[in-house]
Amino acid sequence: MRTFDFWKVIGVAGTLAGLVSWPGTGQAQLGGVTDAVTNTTSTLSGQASGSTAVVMGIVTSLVDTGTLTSPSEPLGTSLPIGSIPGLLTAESLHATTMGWTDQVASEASLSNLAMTVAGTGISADFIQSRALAVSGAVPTGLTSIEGLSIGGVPVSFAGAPNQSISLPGLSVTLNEQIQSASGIIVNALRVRSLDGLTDVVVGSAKAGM
Amino acid sequence: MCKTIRTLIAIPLALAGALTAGSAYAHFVPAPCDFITGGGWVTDDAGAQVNFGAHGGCKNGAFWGHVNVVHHGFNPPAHLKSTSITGYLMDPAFPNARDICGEGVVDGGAGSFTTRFRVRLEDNGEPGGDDRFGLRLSNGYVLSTRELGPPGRTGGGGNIQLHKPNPSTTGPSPAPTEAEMCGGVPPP
Repeated sequence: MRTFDFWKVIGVAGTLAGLVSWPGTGQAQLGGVTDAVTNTTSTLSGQASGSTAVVMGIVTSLVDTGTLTSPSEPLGTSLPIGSIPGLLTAESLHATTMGWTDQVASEASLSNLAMTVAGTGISADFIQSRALAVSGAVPTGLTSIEGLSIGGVPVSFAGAPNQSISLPGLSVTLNEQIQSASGIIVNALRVRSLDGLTDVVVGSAKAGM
Repeated sequence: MCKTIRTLIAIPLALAGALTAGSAYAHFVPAPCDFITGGGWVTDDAGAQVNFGAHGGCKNGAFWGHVNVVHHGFNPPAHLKSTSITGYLMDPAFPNARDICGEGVVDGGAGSFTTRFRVRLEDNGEPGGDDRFGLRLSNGYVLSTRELGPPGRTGGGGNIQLHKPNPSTTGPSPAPTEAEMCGGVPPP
């Protein structure tokens, strides 16, 4: 763990309470799902993506699994190199979501992130999000962010959910966790321009039962 | 605690797998089969960064997964992208590890060619610094299995997760041999 203290270095600490909707194309697909193998009905939902960006209303996703519909059909996708032109590049992207009769697990990860939003450069050695929903229990999320740098300044990620950073023209949330009655969405890194034109999620995992 | 539970689960898995696959092979399809997922990076013996993202397992009578590796020891970096998954194995000596075998394409600074590959992903608990990754290709390239981190030991980061079986995690029947799954590529 790289432990630079971003707060002390640039003296910027903010709170953003933006628990907003899933920015990508996939919303939770809830409802009864009958599994062909077990012939049981469940209300599972799961999805993962390496990155989803909304720029001036145009949605672009990298390695998006699509929506999990059955515990018999785990989903996964990957890329050695991925990019959203003009916005970000990353390596070794992978996303997967899988279900059981009693739980759903989703995971997305990527390496060597390089991104520029509203003129601010953001980079990370490694980013990973995980979401786990177990029947009868509160869904949980886990985020790993290693080697994060914003505007050339190393940033410490303590691991707590919803760590927010305010910058001129930009808001950054680390380990955004959105809990709902239907599950959890874990966004490892979310960057939004304050003009509302750009909303980028890097490493997103969703799980619900 | 987590390791103890995994070990307790892994021992009967290993015994079941051994009975299923026969004793001629040290590595075999776990029975019941399961999933492993993970991403991260390590450094090779020369200090170059190697990034990976992978998931694999058994799915409805077949093997399933994706493997991607980017090796920065080449200029430009070399990429391995899986095109098919041909095997998913466990080694009873490493019950928290799974090997994913397959066919893939390499391009970038190492040249462009098709290859058989075998990656090892090992989940040794959270947060992931003790997890391990390794890679071997059919052309002889090997990145020996090593810890993901934390930086300063072998250098690296990431996290690997071994998931429990589910009703869909059935492999081919009868289970193929290690040679059939991995084309003679030994563990990394």
